[in-house]
Amino acid sequence: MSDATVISPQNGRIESAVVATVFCAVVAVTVLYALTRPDQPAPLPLLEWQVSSFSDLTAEDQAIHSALFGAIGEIDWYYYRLQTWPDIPELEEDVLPPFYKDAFWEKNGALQWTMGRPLNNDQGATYYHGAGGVVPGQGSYLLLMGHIHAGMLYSNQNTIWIHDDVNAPYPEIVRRGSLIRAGWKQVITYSGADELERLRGVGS
Amino acid sequence: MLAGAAHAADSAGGLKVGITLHPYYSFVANVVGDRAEVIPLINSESNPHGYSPQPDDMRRATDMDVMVVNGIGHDEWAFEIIEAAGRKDNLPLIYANNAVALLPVSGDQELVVNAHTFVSITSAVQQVYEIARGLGAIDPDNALFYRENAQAYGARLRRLRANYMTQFSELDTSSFNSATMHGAYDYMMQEFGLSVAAVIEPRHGVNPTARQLARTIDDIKAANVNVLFAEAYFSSRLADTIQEATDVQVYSFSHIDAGPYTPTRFEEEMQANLDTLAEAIASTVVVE
Repeated sequence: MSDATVISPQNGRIESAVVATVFCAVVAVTVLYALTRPDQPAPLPLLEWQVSSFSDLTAEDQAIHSALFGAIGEIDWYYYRLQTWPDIPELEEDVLPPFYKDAFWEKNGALQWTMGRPLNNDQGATYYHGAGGVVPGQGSYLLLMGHIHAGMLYSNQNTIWIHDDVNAPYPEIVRRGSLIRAGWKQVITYSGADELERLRGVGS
Repeated sequence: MLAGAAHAADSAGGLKVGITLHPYYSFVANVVGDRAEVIPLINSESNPHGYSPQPDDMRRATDMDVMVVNGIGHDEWAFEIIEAAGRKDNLPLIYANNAVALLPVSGDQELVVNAHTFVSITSAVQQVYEIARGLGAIDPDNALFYRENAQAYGARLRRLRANYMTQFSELDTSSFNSATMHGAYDYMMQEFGLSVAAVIEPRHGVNPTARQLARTIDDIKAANVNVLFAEAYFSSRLADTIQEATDVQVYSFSHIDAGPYTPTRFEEEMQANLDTLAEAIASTVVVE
């Protein structure tokens, strides 16, 4: 007579219940994560009166914008040293694009630049206005060094604006509402800091 | 000579500033003069495209007080090294591109960010200023020194650009129409009033498939491209293939990613690029 123990197969109900439970748990965790994960960083949507430097400008407009954006640092540092804004001849003397009359200037429309202060001398604001370009479809430009108080070293409200009309006159008032009513659009720069935010989700 | 060398001071006890790419060595060296040590994160002959971190890199990362990074796609490996070295939470980073207006890679319908801001004089000056600002915040005693050096270096770079601008203004660029193998030159071309009609690589450091190459060749013909800029430090037969198919003239640019780390490297490589560009433009002038 044999000593062998006969093991009868278990009912599959328990295994099925375990598999179903695990499956439900995985689905629940996934759904929970999808609902609660932090939002992916993305640039703020543009408003009606704003355009993107990265995707909304023609090649010439983009080139002028890049040069103006670079010029902000130079102009700020000039102000820091001398406590006055540089005029166009001084910017040209510093061979600073887009003001300096070179091949870049010529290729990008040979714009006529003027420097000015708004009528109400808006808390130290100064602007650089470029118009009269010769490239078809090109706009007019405005670099606004805004809102600096006496004794402050830097202006922290520098903005770049573009107008569809290549001969748009310089604005007498440079407050945002006035510029928008006059048809100017603020160019929102897509900078390395924005890309960093998109890639890593952190400000630098 | 470094900008600001007149301010010579003892570098003992100065910052140890890490850098990831060749141009950043030049930028930082000119900003800090001899008041800090510049430490490249990776070996000078390593290709920064798809770089695999090495044990020595982690040792160097451990020894740094601060690191200057591109941060927008050209030195992603640096972040792996920082993490592996246990410096993720205690190594200050200076993101050189914070204040640079970015451009998309030419011809890319998906508007991919071009990370090669360091192959441009105008963008270089902006990055030099950002580096000086960042270093000044970490080392306030030398902030003024860094800022003055940055301005002197920036002025020298702008003069370099102005010299070539004068040269280019005497050339007829009306027939010049270029493509590049690598999407690295949009910033440089833009600052000289030029543009790139097509980029051969479909993605950064990726060779095109046969089908993509055939389409690019069609695009080159359709856009009347007459000059192709290959890469000075990459060997590739692609340029030969494209030349045979289209009759374009082939020149080489450097995007400053090889050779020794030196303070003058950026200027030397940019001068070589701009000499090449002048030669390429001259070659397209139609003789009546």
